[in-house]
Order: sequence, then structure tokens, then C-alpha cells
Amino acid sequence: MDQAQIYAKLTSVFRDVLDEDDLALTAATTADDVDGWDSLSHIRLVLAVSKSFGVKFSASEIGGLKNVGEFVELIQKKS
Amino acid sequence: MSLTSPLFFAFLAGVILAYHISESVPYRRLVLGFGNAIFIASYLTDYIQILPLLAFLLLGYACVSILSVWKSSLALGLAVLGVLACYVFLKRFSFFDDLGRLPFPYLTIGLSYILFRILHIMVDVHSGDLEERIGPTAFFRYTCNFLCFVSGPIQRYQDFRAADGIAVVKLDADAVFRAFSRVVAGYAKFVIIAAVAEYAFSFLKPQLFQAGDPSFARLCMLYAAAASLYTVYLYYNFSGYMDIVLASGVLLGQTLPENFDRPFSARSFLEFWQRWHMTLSQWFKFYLFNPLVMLLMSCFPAPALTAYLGVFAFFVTFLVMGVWHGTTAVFVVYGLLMGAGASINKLWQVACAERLGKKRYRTMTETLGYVYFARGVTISYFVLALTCLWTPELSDFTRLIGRLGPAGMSAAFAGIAFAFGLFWWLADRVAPRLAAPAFLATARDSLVGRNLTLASQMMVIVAVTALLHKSPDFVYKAF
Repeated sequence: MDQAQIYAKLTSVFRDVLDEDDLALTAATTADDVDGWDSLSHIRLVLAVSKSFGVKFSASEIGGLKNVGEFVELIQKKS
Repeated sequence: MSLTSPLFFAFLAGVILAYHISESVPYRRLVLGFGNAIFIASYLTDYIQILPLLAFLLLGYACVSILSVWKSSLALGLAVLGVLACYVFLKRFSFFDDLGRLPFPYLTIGLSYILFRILHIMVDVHSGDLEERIGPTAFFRYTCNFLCFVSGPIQRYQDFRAADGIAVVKLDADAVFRAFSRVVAGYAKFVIIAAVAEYAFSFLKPQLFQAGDPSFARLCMLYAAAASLYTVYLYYNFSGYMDIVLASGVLLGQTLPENFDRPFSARSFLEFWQRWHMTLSQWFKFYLFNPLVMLLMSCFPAPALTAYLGVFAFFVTFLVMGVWHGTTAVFVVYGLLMGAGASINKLWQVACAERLGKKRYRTMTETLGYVYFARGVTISYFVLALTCLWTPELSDFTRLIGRLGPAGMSAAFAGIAFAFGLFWWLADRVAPRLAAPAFLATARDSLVGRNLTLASQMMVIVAVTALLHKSPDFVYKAF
């Protein structure tokens, strides 16, 4: 799966979990930029991404994610 | 050895000089290893006192080694339980007195932070985040790094490894000056601000327990002043210590993580803990809060429950974090207060967002009145909860709270909240007008000006130490 496909699928997961239909993601997007992306919805996002992409994340990966770009790279590495 | 002792300064200077004699990585690692051993040995008066700590380290290393080849969840669970049981036994928690204790005095300083490092390595080795085999000397250098031994910061092994005795340490005159400036600023916080606050606190605290019948207003003011002074003492003592540790790390090629980020500017209890003792909060977030929320969400997947699962997870996380701070029953009260603070904060956020909608709630939190109110309430809650740390015996704690009663506690809470809110309101108005004239700023930033600033701080440190007739100790080493 290339990065463009991951971004498309990830955007769909984010919109679904955060209930924001017009949400657009870039590599630099952080939790501060997205309304509702807090420590709780972060875990819900991780669970949804795990299910959607069929990958598992470790404790330090979940805690250490700084932006969407890192999320995408991690998914690409694992899938 | 105490951080404010000449012995520590001589030791630190010796390690830094020895470290830079050669760029050989094995040599530098040897220097750091010996440095750690000498630092720990300075706390001992008999070799037997080190044996429990050595046993704890050996157990941790054995668990890490087993997990690196047997990555099952059962092995991780058993390893975590074993290490935790050993920690609880060695730390002598008063509620587990029946378990018995070792029949000789031994070293417990640093044990809590070694526990965090060992648990982190075990979890990361099990999950595959740490795939390399960690040698026993690297394990010792990481878990017992003398800079972080007493009270953190809690550095991740991955970050430690990247700077462990590396050959190239980029130091120029400016970087060295900045490091020494921070060391001196740390000592200034420690020896001037924290020591003066402690001096005033020690003067007020006995009056709270004195026999007699002080007026209600006097008792409330006395309590509010003592609790606030203790908080100032704790913050400047701990953050000054961190300045010394982090700046010393720069001279040894180590980039240690920051532990404080202007905590008293926080607008909520949850934000406060993202700014106070940050590496501890992050550790708990990584290894307790996140896994607990994941477990809860897997069991109760309905999105409508997310916020309430969060309230519960915040409560549990902050309860454990609070209880970790001490070994007596009053620290359970502290844990409950931390847990209550975090979960009430989350409930408030949920209720406001539901009632006002996310956007209106966000707009409300940006209004000036809300900002100063929220800062005042946040700090006041923390200040009062810290009472547990300066009355570690439950009998003293209950006596003090009983004497104040609900009305006294409420009045102290309101008074501290108002005072801190007002302080921030004034600070935000006055600080921008205090910019130094251009010629003074130029003089201050010149070579002579910068060195004069440093020398002045050292002179004030000497003067205050002479005035107070004592060298303060590091308060957090007890936790």
C-alpha cells in the first residue's frame, strides 16, 4: 500500500472516529490541529486504525506518535 | 552525596574531565559506569546496604533477558508481578508491614526510578520495540545513570542508547557557557528561592499544630500561606535540581528530557500534569493510562461511553501515581485526591462540551475571566492536595484537616485560588511592560554582562547560604 492510499484510508478512519466530515490530513497535522483529537480519541483512533489496516501497535508507538506523518510511516512499515 | 555539597561538584567536575580525555566509546562508557558506581557508593556506610539494590537490578536484568527470547504475554505478566513485588517489599510500604522486612538498613534512594526504567525496558522488549540485546553494563549505565539516579528525569532507553558514551559531543564555548549558566541558575533556584520558601514554611507549619484556639481567619490564612510556601519550595527545589542535572548532561553528551514546562500557567488539572514532572506523567500515560483505556474500549466499544471510560482511567492512573509518592496511608489520600482531580476535570470538560457544544466551550475557555479562574482553581487544588506530602503521618493530617473543618478548607481553597488568579492577571499585565531598555539589554547580553550575571547569582547563593546557615536537601529523593 503506498502513502497516498494510506492517507485516503486514514482520513476516512479519522472522519469516522472524530465525527468530522470535512477533516483533511497532512503529514504535519497534530492533535492540536484537530478538534476532538485528545488522549481518549487517540486510543479510539489507534484501535480503529489497527482494525482497518490489520496492524498492531506497541505501547511506545502509541504514546510516541507526534503527527499524522509518523502515523502513516508506522502503518506503511507494518502493513 | 547531596547535590549542594562540594563533594558532588568535585565528583561532577572529575567525571566531566575524565569523559573528555578520550573520544573512545568504550573508555567513555567505562567513565560513566564508574561514575554511577562511585555516586551510588557515596550513599553507603556498609557494603551490605547495596545488596538489596543489586538483587533488584539482577532480577530486572534477568526478566529483560528472559523476555528478549520468550516474548509471551504470560512471561511479561509474571516478570512485571515479580519486579513489582520485589519493589513493594524493598520500599517498605507501611500497609505491607506484615510481609516482614530485611533485618538491616539498606539503600532505597533511586529505587522508584529504577523500577520505571526496568518496567519500560521489559514492556518494550516484549513488544519488539527494543530488539537489540541489552548488555549488563549498558543496563547498569541506563538504570543507574548518576544524573537521573535520585529522581529522574525518566529517559527512554532508546534515547539513552543514542547518547551512551558517543564519540562526538558537540560543545563550543557558547554551549558550555549555557550549560554552566543553567547549572548556576539551578543552584540559585535550589539554594535561594526554595530554601527561603522552606525557611518560611518551617516557621509557619508548627503554628498550625500548636495548642490554643486561634481565630478562624488566622488559621485559614496560616494554612493557605504554609501550603502555598511548601508548593513554591517543592517546585523550585525540584526544577532547580532538574536544571543542574540536565545542564550537566549536556557536558556529558546526554540530552535528557525536560521535566517541567511552566506548570503554574496550566488552565486545568490535566494540563498541569502535562507540565509538571512531565517524564513521570508520560511514563504513566504510555504504560498505564493508554493500555487501560485500550482494554476498557475493547470491552465497551460504544463511542458514547468513551468519555466515561476516560474518567475512570484518569482516576485509576492518577490514584496509582499519587500512591507511588509515599509509603504511608496518607499517600493513599493523596492518590485519591489526584484521581478525583483528574476525573472531575474530565467530567467538567465532558459536561461543558455536551451542554455548550465543542466550539462554544472552546470559546469560553479562551475568555480572560475563565483563564484566570481556571488557573487559580487548578493551582489551589494542587497546593491543598500537597498537604499530604508535608503531613506524611495520617494522624497529623487528620488533626490538621479536622481543625480547619470544611469551612476552613473551603476558605483556604478560595483564598489561594483568588491569590494565584490575581497574581497571573497582574503578571500578564505588568510583565510585557518590563522590557529592559535597549542599552541595558545589550550590556546584559555582552560577554562581560553574561559573566557578571553568573557571578552575581553565585554571590547571592553564597550570601543566602550564609544567612540561612544550612544547605537544603533535595525534597523529591524521598519519593
